[in-house]
Amino acid sequence: MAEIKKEKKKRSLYKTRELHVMLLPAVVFTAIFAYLPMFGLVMAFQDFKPLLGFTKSKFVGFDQFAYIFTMPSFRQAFVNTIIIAFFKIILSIFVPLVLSLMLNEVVKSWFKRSVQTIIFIPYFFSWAILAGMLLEIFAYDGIINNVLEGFFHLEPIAFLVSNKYFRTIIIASDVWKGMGYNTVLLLAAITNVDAALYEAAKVDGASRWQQVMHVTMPGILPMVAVLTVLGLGGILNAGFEQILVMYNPTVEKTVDILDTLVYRLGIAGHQYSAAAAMGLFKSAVSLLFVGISYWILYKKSDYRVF
Amino acid sequence: MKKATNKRWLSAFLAVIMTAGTLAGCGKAPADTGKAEGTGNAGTTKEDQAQVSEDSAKENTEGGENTGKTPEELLLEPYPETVDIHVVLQYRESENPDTPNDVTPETSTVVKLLQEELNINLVYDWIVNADQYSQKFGAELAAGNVPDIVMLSPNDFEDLVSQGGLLDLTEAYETYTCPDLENIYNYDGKFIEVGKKDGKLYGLPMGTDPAQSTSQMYYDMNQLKEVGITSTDQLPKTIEEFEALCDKLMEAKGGPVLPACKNYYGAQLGDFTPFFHAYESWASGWYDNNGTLEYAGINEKNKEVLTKLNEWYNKGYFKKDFAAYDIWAADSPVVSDIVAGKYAIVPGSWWVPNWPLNSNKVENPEANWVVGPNLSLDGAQPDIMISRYPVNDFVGVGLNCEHPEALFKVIYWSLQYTLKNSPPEVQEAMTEEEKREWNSYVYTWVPWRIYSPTCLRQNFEVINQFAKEGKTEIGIDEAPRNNEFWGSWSSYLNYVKNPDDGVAWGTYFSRLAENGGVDNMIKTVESADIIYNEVYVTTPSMISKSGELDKLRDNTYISIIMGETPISGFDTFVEQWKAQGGDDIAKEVNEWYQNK
Amino acid sequence: MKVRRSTGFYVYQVFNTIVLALMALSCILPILHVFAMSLSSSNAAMAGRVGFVPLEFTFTAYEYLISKKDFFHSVGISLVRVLVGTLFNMVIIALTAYPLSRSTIQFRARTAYMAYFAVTMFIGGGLIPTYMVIKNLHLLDSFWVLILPSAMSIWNVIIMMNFIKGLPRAIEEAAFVDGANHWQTLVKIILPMSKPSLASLFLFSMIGHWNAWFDGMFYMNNPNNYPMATYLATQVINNNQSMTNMTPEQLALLSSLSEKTVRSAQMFIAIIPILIVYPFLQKFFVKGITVGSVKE
Repeated sequence: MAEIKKEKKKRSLYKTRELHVMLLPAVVFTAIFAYLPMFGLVMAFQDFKPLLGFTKSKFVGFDQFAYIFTMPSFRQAFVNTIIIAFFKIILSIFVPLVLSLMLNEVVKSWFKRSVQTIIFIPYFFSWAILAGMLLEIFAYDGIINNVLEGFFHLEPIAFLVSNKYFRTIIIASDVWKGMGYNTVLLLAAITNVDAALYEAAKVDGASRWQQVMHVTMPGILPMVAVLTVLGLGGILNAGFEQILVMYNPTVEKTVDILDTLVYRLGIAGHQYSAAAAMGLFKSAVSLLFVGISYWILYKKSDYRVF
Repeated sequence: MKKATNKRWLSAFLAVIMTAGTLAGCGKAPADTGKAEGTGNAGTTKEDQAQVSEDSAKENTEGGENTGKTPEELLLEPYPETVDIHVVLQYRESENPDTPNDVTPETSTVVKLLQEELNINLVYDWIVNADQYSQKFGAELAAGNVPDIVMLSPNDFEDLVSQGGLLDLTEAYETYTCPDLENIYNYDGKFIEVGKKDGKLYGLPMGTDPAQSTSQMYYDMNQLKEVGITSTDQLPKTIEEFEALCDKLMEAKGGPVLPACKNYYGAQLGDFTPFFHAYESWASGWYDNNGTLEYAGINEKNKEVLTKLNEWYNKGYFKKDFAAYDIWAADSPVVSDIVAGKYAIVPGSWWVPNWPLNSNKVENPEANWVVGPNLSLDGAQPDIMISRYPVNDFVGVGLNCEHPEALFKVIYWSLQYTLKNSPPEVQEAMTEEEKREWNSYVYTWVPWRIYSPTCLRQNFEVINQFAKEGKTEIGIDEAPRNNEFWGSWSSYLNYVKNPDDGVAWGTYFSRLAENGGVDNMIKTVESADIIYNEVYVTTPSMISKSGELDKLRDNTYISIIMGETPISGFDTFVEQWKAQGGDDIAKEVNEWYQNK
Repeated sequence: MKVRRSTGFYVYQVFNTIVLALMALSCILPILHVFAMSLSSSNAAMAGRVGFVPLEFTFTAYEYLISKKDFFHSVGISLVRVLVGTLFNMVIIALTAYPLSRSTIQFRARTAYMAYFAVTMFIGGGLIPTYMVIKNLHLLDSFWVLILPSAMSIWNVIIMMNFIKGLPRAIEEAAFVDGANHWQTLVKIILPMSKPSLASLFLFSMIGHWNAWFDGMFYMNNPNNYPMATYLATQVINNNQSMTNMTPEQLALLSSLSEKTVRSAQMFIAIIPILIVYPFLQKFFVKGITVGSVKE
């Protein structure tokens, strides 16, 4: 009996041996460049001084965590992070989804191709460059205010220093910048939907709208699910680079996020350990979010993202 | 390209010449005077080479004392064996078209000459963009690497000393001290104390004249004609008069009439500093109140100026969204507006005519910028607060370095080299290529500076004296021994030749003109009652907390000015400031102050 | 075959076209602005007068760039990086996504592998420990530091894996029945069917390498080894130090801050290669490769 089991195990190993070999490079790279540095996380529990290194720096247990949780800017940054990230994740899937469905309906292929190419362009620009342009556009004497004033006879709005509007500008511009990327992924998924299904739907007399709802949508749902769950993994990455180059003291109340806080701690304050503790906290929260969404998806639709 | 020309002049004038093309005369560079190889122990053999050099350095000293060698001679003595000095560099890619393409830090003339004349081999371990410097530095520290000669911000200096990363320089300092060097890091005989911890010297302070933190009002008389101001006597002295002028400008041209930015205090350009000063208020700094240091940023008195600024904001003197703009950002729109001539009034420091007002004058030659009276409530010069010792950086020696004295040697060598090569006749004799390297920003590619904090005042006096005597040529011996002198002298000659050139005007008006930038700066500190910002050290709480506290203050102030927070919000801010670490800092600062 | 089209369909098409055209317009304006800026005079750019048409037309910025060897040197490094780096990424994506797309019945260790990879999505060691690892591997200042640490991207693997999972099983099963092994299945069946996904991932990976700047700045000890994106980043980063006490030399540096027009020219040159490659790749995911070659 035991021998048969052993034999079976051996055989299964033999059959999958190629698969193990295929995975080898990824396993090695991950071990070296992702797992090895994780030993450095001990610094979250130390009062880390670079010159003393990991071995000689003093251990302080959970003091660093206690410290960051009592920081007054921490709560504000945490709330802002969640709000900004939430809207960014939802919209950066919803907008490309709509766009890709619209693009799929376009008959003229040159138009389809051009639009697709063009909406990808902002993605190439770094925030440092786009920020300058956006700040110009939304300035008190900028284009947007000129339009509001000229066409709608509205009072100009100081968008850049407004706690009412600035967060929306941050979210919208991020969605705008990244929409080409997800549109491409979703279009790839749409083109991949089995053509036979459309034929079948047509035979059944389904309208175009019905085809979209009953053939396209179910077909690309897995990709949407993947993007959502992956997006949730970054729930606490609300877009550091963008906010760093765009924010100013007046709107800090509404757009200061954990990463900008960590940046200020780590760079200006030399508080490597506090910054590491904050990073670890972020990891834990992201893991929680992804875990929950993964589980819900699995329970509801029996679909495993990973 | 007008701007390029502008830059060339600027740099020609400012170059703190660390580098130049190989000069015809460099064989006779200052090193020659100290070329005597009489170190006495050049032949000594020991197994540990490093030990040899270290000993030799010590014996040098002793030998020097025995043979009566001056520190100046010792400083220029080459090492018997080549000494590697590891350095790192914060780098900012120069877009100056004048920088020769093939010159990199490693291949610059300064590196070559240091090797030839002092037998010091400058090794650049790594070079990184200024923004990533802090991170790279931290990572390299964790890997156990401290550069041999390193330039540090006050925060980094404090941090590194507390970790034991820097060598004690006390002994080397005593051996090598000489007037030329003292001018740089100990100009008043006390400045060097800033670099000491528990009586030991860990770094040479690189600072500026305390008076440089004063702020003044620049007016364009040409634009002011429109509102009926035709002579400088009519320029406002009081806040009230100033407000009346602004109102008139608002009527005549519409707002905004004053440049403003999120760096509202201490930016030295387009900020509110002069208005704070008019109310004898300060947003930062620690002043002595009967023996106890108090933080100026939480003083009740600041409410007055904030209320006034809020009033002005509502009237439209500033851009409605001024708080979104950083004056120091690349291509700052505030600076563009100043250059474009949108403002007839520009508050700023002594150097503002040098940049960006010079660009404005290049664009609009009819512009006529003058310095107006310092504003106050009653028309008299208000009390001013200036830093006791403004330190920009410290230069220290890393703990693994075997030759701490090399620091003094390279600084001294650089200064001699600069003094020797910057007089106009030497410059004229240079080849085109040599000039290009000399005039580019290559001089910032070493981790030390040779700027003397007193040079602005010194050059102002000396050059104006020469001007009075009608001199157009001076001998080397007549010149003060600071690295800025020859640049200032050339700019004087240049201005005399081309008084209508905007760039020539800028350098002259900022530094040398009567009632110009430096002149007004000197007059201000001489006529005003001075309150000193006494704190020039960084305490542990400051390293970790001052960043967030400053943010809290800035956010509150700007919010009050913009009317988002009522003035009563100031009291809440004071409470928060104290609770979030301000009290801790106050305690540490006062402890230090009592035991100083 | 004639398809009946209602008025509603045409109304929808018009609406569709307008919305998409507006979206596209919002995306193309920035690049026009950059392009116009790069061809304008420095004064016009400084004064903020340039919109979408060059003012005081000049090639100065481009002439200046051409005279600067180091910019093109960095472009060269970037090109090599994109070639080698994308190759590494694609090979690893394919090799890793395929085994992970097998069912647990087929490949029992899959769950363990997946967990092993997934952890790295959320937990990272941070900058300093990573730096020390790279330093100890002697990768600092080496070209490979731009390639190896980012060779394995679990995010892209997951996207690919899900794509493979969505492929019809029939062909692949048929292959197995014919006695093909995993290698053959991967290369002959799976990869050809995955062209849309491979094309997208290829594009992302390429753009990622082309635009990555931080690793170059942090791991290279010498600016001569900077890839183009890092080189550009050194030009546009803000001068954020507080200048409380300016010495004349700092002042000199200030006025040396780069020219707006030159930077615009660099930015424009920087996105040209991607604009060239993109339409070619697009073919794959717009036309799509009909997967339904086996009717179920």
